Amino acid sequence: MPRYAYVIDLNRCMGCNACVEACKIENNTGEGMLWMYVFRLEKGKYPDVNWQFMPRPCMHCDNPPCVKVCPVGARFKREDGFTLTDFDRCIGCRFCEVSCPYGVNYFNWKKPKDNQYFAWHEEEGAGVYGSGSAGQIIGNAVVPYENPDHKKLYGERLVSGGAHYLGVVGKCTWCVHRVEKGLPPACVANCPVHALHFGDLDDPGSEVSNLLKRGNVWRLLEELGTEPRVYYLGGQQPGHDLRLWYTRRQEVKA
Amino acid sequence: MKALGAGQIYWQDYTPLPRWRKPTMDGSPADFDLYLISHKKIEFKQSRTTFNALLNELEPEQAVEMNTAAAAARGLADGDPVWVESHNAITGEKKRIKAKVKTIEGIRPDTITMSHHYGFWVHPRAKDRGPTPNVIFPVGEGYITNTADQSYQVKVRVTQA
Repeated sequence: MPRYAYVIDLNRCMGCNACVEACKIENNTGEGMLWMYVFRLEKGKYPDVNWQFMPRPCMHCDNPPCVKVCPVGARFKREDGFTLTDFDRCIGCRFCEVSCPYGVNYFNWKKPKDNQYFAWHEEEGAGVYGSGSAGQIIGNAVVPYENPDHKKLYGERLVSGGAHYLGVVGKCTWCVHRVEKGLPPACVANCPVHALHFGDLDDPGSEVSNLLKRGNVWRLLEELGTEPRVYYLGGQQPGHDLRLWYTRRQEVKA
Repeated sequence: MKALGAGQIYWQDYTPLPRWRKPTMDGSPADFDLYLISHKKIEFKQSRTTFNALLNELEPEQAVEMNTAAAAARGLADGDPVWVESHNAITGEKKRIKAKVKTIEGIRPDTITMSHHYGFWVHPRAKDRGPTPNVIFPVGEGYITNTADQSYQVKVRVTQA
């Protein structure tokens, strides 16, 4: 049984948001749902200023508060480290959303088709391209949110593609449908500067094991005792002298 | 134009060897006290991805990035709407656009910057996301270099809108 971990090398991250977009494409999350997010932090006063970029996936905690509060056992911890939601069981009570100190849970308010950037059944194309719906423009090809991998069961539970069902809470799955195939999560695969790493801690030769030997390793909000599986390498923990200078201001169209 | 000194400045830029001259923008009045530069954001490719729904969700709006202390000296806080008014030192022409201030520390107090990914007016995903600074950069005598790149530097003033 592997013991998966996720390592983020903050010395390499340049805040390009490629991981955010890779996640959105792979999992087809709806508008306003950012399972991966990159915080932009600023430290110091002009002219002595430092910027740091901090990607924030789900921490897949070893002591996950969301699992404890789930009244129906939908949120569970797998032995290999994944913290996942069983969408057949989830009743959408959103307790996990409240309990999570990292804010990684997003509730699906709409049907998946209405949740997408272009509502595919609408005649949205008429205003943009002259005529026809977006579906007609792409020849009614299989639209991205119908990736069949998300419909499969992993560990005999429906855990992949949390943005695809109405009234459930979705969050980063570490791309369980890719990892089960031997591929890294989409964010890791798409990082242009190799700042993100995913692998097995039990394998002493793995990339993550070697990176964690380097030192200056910390975990986000470690003092809360959630035992995150996401390790940050280098950089600095956000705090009073490291302020957020960039936020997505637009209201979330939930 | 020539009566205003344009000919002299223009031809001075076409000497075989580069010669320093006072930047044209420094001829603007003293109340145009800030330099305006433009930049590209890491998410976008020029201005042709602004209508990409995924990207403009991350960067939804134009912002005038300004040093915190410089903004405070003008009575501005983060998020305030402002007029950015440019001055063409040759013709005396003034142009202005309206955008919101974003205060950061990582910029000189005498400089402001705006990205030029915005300013679309047709596409439903790209319109109403703020102006492009290109409309207030002067083009013409004194502001275009002899390498055909356009020197997008101009003096501006920022006032509360």
